Amino acid sequence: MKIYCIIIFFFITIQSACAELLVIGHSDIKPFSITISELSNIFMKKHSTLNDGTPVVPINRAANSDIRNQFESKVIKMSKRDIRTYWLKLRFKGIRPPVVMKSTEAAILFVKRFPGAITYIDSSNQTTGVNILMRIK
Amino acid sequence: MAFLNSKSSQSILRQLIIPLVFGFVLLIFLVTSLVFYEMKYDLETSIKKQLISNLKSINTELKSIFHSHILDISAWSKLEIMDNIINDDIDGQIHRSLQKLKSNYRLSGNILVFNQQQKLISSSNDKFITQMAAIIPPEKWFQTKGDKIIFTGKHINPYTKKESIAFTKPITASFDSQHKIGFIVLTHPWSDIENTILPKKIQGILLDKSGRILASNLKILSANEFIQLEKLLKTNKIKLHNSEFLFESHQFSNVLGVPLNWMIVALESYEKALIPVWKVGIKVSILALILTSIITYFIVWQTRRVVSPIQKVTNAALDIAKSSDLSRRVEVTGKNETAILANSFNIMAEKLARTMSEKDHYANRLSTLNKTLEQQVAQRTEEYRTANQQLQSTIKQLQEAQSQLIQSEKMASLGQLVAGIAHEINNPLGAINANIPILIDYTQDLFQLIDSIKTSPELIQSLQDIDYEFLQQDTPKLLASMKNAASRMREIILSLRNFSRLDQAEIQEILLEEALDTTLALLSHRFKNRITVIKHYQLNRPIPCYAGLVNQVLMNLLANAEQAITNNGKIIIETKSQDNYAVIKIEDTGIGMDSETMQKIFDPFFTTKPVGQGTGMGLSISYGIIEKHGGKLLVSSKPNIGTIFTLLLPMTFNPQNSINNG
Repeated sequence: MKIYCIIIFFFITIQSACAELLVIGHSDIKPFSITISELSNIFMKKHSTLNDGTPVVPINRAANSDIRNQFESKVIKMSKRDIRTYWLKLRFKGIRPPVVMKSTEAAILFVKRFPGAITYIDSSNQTTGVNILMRIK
Repeated sequence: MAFLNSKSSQSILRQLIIPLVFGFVLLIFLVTSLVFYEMKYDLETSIKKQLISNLKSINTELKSIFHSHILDISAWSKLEIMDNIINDDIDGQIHRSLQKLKSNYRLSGNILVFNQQQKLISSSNDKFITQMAAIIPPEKWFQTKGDKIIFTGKHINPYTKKESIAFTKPITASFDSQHKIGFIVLTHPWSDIENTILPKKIQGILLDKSGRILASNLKILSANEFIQLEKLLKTNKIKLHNSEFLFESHQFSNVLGVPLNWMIVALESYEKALIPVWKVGIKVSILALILTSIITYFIVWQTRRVVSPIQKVTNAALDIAKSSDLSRRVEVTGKNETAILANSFNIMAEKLARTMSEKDHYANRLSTLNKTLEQQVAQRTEEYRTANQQLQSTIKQLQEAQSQLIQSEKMASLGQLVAGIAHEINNPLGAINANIPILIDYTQDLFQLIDSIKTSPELIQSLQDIDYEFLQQDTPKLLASMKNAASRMREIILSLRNFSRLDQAEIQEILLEEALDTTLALLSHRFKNRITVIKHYQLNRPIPCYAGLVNQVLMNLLANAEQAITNNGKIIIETKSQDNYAVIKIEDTGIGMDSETMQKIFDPFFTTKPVGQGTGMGLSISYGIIEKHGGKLLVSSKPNIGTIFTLLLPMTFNPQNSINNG
């Protein structure tokens, strides 16, 4: 029994670790028009627009969720501690971190409805009504 | 002598008591009124203060509620979680948060979150959103301007179907304050507000800006009635459904910039509020009445005590004035001013009594002397008056006797004169009477002779020259006329002799009718063509009398009758016998007399004729003559109708009796 459980856990971990992230945006943002660094700047509230001047609203996911961990490791590329410290400093300056959506459905719906909204989802989710800005492996 | 009335309204007792009692009653009335008014004013002020205090308390409570609601909803609208409005809160994060807020803040109302399209996204209510989504929220919840909170007053909450108030705040995205994403609405049940504003111990009314009653715990008022706000602002009393109330009001214009436009009015029934005042007023009035009675009694007692000695002196003085009893004295008690007054009065009364006694003594003496003197004067006066009357009577009798004597003498002389003249004329007249018939015969003979011899022309011519024929015709006429005149003269002489009757100075029986005719004949020249004499002779028997005197009387009466008739008239003469009297009634239609003249006509020398035409003795003498006969001469007359003289002569005349009578 223990062996089965360990095998299943490992399989799931491998699966998730290897899952593709999709960066999606509101339909008014051009598809595939963003870079990793730009995406990082947007989610770290360093920039509020794309390079082409399109205003964007980053929608983060629940803290400590798998998808967020993946996004931070692949895009932000900072340790959790550094990220927490970073946001403490910004809060001190009056800058709030991006909006957090707990569920993927909520995040997708938000992006669909709010112009300039950008979020990231697992590639397994439906993306109708939104533009895919980037695929992150 | 009205001042002698001891019960006069001007007595000192009354003059003292009435102003004192009236003044005291007025004072009590003024003090009571002042106390009553002050109490009423204080009570009203106290009630007003209490009402203001109540209003402050309510204001604080209500402001606290509204303040917290406004702050809370402001804070809640800024929660990051509200961003889930955009995704219709499909994670239920807003719902859970609202539930927590309601629980934590112990809200009696609900928190509702709508998206920008006013679609209900979430609620603190346990019901499923799907059930509530079909309900359309009130439009006024969302009539916001900018970012401000709006207040919706009393209305029906469609989600709870109960009356509520509501605060609405627009929600903006947490990441973009310019981007509105929805509304948060906080409702509060109206029942809670009512209980807060109008606790049972306070009577009050909650009004909106139009004066509509939103809530009231007065039974006489019902919700949605209107009250004129102007009245509330101008007066300090208000009349609601015939009940008067003291009130204080407070306006809630806004709380933390949120406009409310409410007015709270705290009231107290004026009648109920004044019950304590009335109670105290009644007590004070009763006390004042008792006090007034006691003080009045005291005033009356004290006044009487002061006035009583004066009244004693007054009564004593009055008694003396009324009864003149100077033995009356006043009882003297004490040594005050009234005692001195009483004592002085007694001394004065005693002196007066002595003086009065002396005065009475002298007065009595004087009275006795007066009475004696008066009696003597009266006695003497009476004696003089009697003597005077006797003297007057004697003089009158003497005058009458003198006048009658003069008249009698005059008439006697006249009679003698007439008788002499008549006698002297009678002889030649007799000759004339005797010769005229002979002369007539002679002339007839002469005319016959001339007629027989008038053949000679010369004679005829001579006769024609003397108008013989006329002469022949006229001479008999002249002679006849002469004869008549002579006859007339004879009758006149006869009448004069009859009138004078000097030969008949003794009593004779004569026919009065004959005497009347004789008299009428003497007066005929004054009667003719003017006065008709009507005779009714019914006596026709001889009457014993002094014929001359009676003729004088008849002449007098008939002459007077003739003189009384100024123009034409009648004289009616009647003779008859009546009760052993021969009556001659001579009535004329002359000018008559008034009663005053009639009373005086038998007085000597009284005349109505002009001076020199009458002696005034005629009727007086006539009266005397008739009296001498024992007869009566009566007169009745009416002015402008006529006069009647009635002469009564006794049919059996005894001169001895008549003389005695005369």
